[in-house]
Amino acid sequence: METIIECKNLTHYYGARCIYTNLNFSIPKGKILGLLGKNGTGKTTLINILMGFLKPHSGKCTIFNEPSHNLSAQTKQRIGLLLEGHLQYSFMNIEQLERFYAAFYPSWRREPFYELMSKLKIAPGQRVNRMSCGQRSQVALGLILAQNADLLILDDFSMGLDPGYRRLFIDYLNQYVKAEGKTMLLTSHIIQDLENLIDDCIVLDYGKILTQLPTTELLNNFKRYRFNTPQSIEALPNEAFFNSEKNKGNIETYSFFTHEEVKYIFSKSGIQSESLMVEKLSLEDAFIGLTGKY
Amino acid sequence: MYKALLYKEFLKTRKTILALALVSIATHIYMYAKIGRSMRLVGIDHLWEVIIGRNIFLFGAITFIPLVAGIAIGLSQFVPELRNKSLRLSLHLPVKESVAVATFVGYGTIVNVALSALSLVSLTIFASIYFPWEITQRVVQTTYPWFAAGLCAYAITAWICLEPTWTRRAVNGLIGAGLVNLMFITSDPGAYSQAIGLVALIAILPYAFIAESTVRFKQGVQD
Repeated sequence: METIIECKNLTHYYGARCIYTNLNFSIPKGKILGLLGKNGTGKTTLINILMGFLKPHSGKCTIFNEPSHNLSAQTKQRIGLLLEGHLQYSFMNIEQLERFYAAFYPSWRREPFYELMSKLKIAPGQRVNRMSCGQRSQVALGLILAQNADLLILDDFSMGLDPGYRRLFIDYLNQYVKAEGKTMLLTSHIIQDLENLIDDCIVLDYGKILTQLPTTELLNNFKRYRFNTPQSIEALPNEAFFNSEKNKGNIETYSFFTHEEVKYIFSKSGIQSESLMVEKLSLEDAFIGLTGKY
Repeated sequence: MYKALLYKEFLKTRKTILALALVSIATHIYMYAKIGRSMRLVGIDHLWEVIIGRNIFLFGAITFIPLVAGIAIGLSQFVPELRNKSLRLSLHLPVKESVAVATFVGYGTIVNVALSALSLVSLTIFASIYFPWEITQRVVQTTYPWFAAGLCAYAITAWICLEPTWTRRAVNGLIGAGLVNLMFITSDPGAYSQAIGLVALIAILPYAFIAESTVRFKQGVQD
């Protein structure tokens, strides 16, 4: 399958602070990849590197087989980009934006743009700087849909949006990307929004990738375990469990191991766990399980 | 595509251009009216004598207009691109980045040159109607560094705005202030008539630095 985005051994620092070392991932054609991580783990940094707005310390990123810091005009034509905060030219109105962007994209489709604008009752003469955050997000979305790009890169698309606008945004994206075989890389702070949207996810921690899996695999295999024990939390083997917490004798922990495997590990480690309970997780719970609450 | 890029620049600058044109027209009318009044009161012969004998320059009211125009056009073009680093939108357009920035700067330069040219043509026509060729020539020679300062100030404003770090912006500002100041060292009429080439060189010098700041912006250089 054709690879659309590829990052090899990407390393970046802000001053002395390491953002990642040797980050590797790729996105095949037609896949939707969610980049998840707490604040400051480098999601926006990665998007800036991919779009050539930041020079990485070392490593290489390619988009459509071109180096990301030096994309040709033809390749940029194939990439729809949503910058953090639904950034658009604030001095332009709807009509001016549509006219402006249409000149750059040969397969520009004005109908979906105006359809979305009329649905949201945004007047053609309304200027971006007089719009609400939700309206701005839909303008940015409408422009991306009209551009008819092969690759969509969306940085924190849910930022500042109420549930209605978020749902609308996701519905449109889902329909568009899945119907037309587009590839998408996106980040969001609201993990629950991504659960039914993304095919694969990368969970970033400070300086590294915690996990990179198809979303269904993560949701099927990563479980929360709860049990009551008088023993200390330190008795749990670190390599098998994530972000274990003990509260009044109850331990809550997360693991990729199955119920049977966990029972076996406990019996081998001499952990008393008669009350062991396993729970299936939502994407947000899985994210918390991997990255921790704090 | 280029038409669209120019359209975007026009949308940002149209109000500033209109305001500058109105201020410039009003200043010229005021200046001509004042000179006309002096002609009626003291007579044109006496005015000639004052200009030649006492080395007085009658068109000083426009001294800083090109400078203000250069800065204002630069700010109106590039400040909207600085908000939330909106320049990233422009650099993501499917046009070679250097070509996009050259188009933006080219637009601003043409607007500045057009405003200066209108002013210069108006001064030349007015002066040639009432004064001998030598005085008209002196008017052009005296105002030339002011127009050059306007162009220089525009390029410096673009250079400062496109620079991503505040430290370098401050340094660029100081260099820019120094360069612009060279055009106003003396207000003596025709003082720069022997340095026309040098003035032109100073005016275009900051243009050479704009590309470097754009590259630094693109690389995400920070303080």
